[in-house]
Parts: sequence; structure tokens; C-alpha cells
Amino acid sequence: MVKIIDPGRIERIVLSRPITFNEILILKAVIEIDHINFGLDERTRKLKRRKRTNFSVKDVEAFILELDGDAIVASRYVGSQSVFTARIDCPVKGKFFTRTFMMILRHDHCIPDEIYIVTLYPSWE
Amino acid sequence: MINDEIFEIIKKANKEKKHLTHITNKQELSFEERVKISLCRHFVHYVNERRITVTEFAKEMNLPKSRVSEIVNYKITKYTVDKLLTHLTRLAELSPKTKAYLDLLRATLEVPPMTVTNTKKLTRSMSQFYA
Repeated sequence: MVKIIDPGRIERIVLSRPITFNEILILKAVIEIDHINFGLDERTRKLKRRKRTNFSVKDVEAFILELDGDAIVASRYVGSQSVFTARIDCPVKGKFFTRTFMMILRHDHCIPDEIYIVTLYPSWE
Repeated sequence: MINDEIFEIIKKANKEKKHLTHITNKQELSFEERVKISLCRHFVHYVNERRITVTEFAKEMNLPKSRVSEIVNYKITKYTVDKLLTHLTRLAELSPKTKAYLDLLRATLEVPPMTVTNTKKLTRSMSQFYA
């Protein structure tokens, strides 16, 4: 049976300023905020119970803004989507500032102005 | 995203952690580093535009996958500007866009010394055109 992962709360935002990512103008973002803060349990395929981070949507937006002007090579392609994985230094003061996180994001060519943040987790985990 | 896809991506990302692109504060980069990153970006665009894997790209470039991975993930300490230019020349054989970019680069480098005002004017018009 195909098991679909419940990513928890998903937030849609309009970025406070547009960014250029892979030479594409991005205006909006979709953030899996619960997936970011709780992470997934590999065994149960559900969100973990204990929080690993305490990022707000605004904090995640700060990470997204760091991508401005960058170009990353896609790690895989799923239909019209490209999935990207990168290491990114935390820009949020007071919350792991300058520590490196792993970011998994995807971009759908059918929705060019939107970026989808799948997860963001500490690289030292 | 469904099923094991997310776990697969996370597992792969953790395995290749050190090789992945590292996004840092760009303001701290030196001029040489910025030049290198700009050159690497052309390889990334080519890969993304054609939606190919790094392995496929390495085959097209006739280079080892590890070397190509270093370029597309901006491991700039492993490359000099002239080495990157050599690879970019090879890429220009595959990509008309890169070829045109190299022509622009050549033309820019061949610009004779001008007055500060004229140089600034040219720089400004180039940035305006790009914007």
C-alpha cells in the first residue's frame, strides 16, 4: 500500500522581496513548517513528537532570501519539478546563527514564481 | 512529496553533505572568488536547463564525475580561474549560450583603457541591460 507522508502545517507566503534563484524570479514560497521543526520519523513515517528547531515562517523566509542570486544544480527531477539540496548558513540571529543547515527545496516549472521548501534540518544531526 | 522519496533525498543529502553547494554570505567573498562562482554558474545553468544529471553532464564534458561535481557545487578552492575557463571553453562547444558569453568576456577583456567616466558609463549600461 502506498503510504503518503503527512507533512503537517504548510504555509504559503509572499516573499518580503523578490529573489532570483537559478535565474528565475521567485515571489512566493510554500513552507512545510512542521516538517522543518519536527522532522520525520523514518520508522513511523510521521512527524516526530519532539521539536528539533523552533523556526517561524519569518525565520524560514530569511533562509529563502539567502538564496537570492544563487544557482544550484538540481539533485533530481520529478515530472515538472526539480529538487535541490544545499547547505545553508543560518541567518537567524539567536537561533543557531551561522550554523549550517541542510535545505531541501523544489521548484515546479509550471509554477515558476514559487519555491517549495520541503525541509530544513541541522547538518550536524 | 510522497512515500519514500523524502527519506531517499534526505539520505542521499546526508551522504553527500560535504559535496553539496554551500550557501554563505556573499559579501565576504573576494573578487577572485566571485569570478570563479560566476564561471561555475554557467555549468549549473547548462545542467538545469537541460535537466540532466551530473553524471550525464560529466560524460558530455568528457571529465570525471567528481571533477564536474566540484564545479557545479562551487568547490572553488579546487579550481583556478584559468582552469575553469578551459572547461568553460569546452562547454561552449555544447552550449551556444556559453559560447556567446565567452565572446562577451573576450570583448570585455579587450576593451582598451578608458577614462574613469567612460568606464563607469559602460559598467552602468551593462548592469542596466542585465537588470
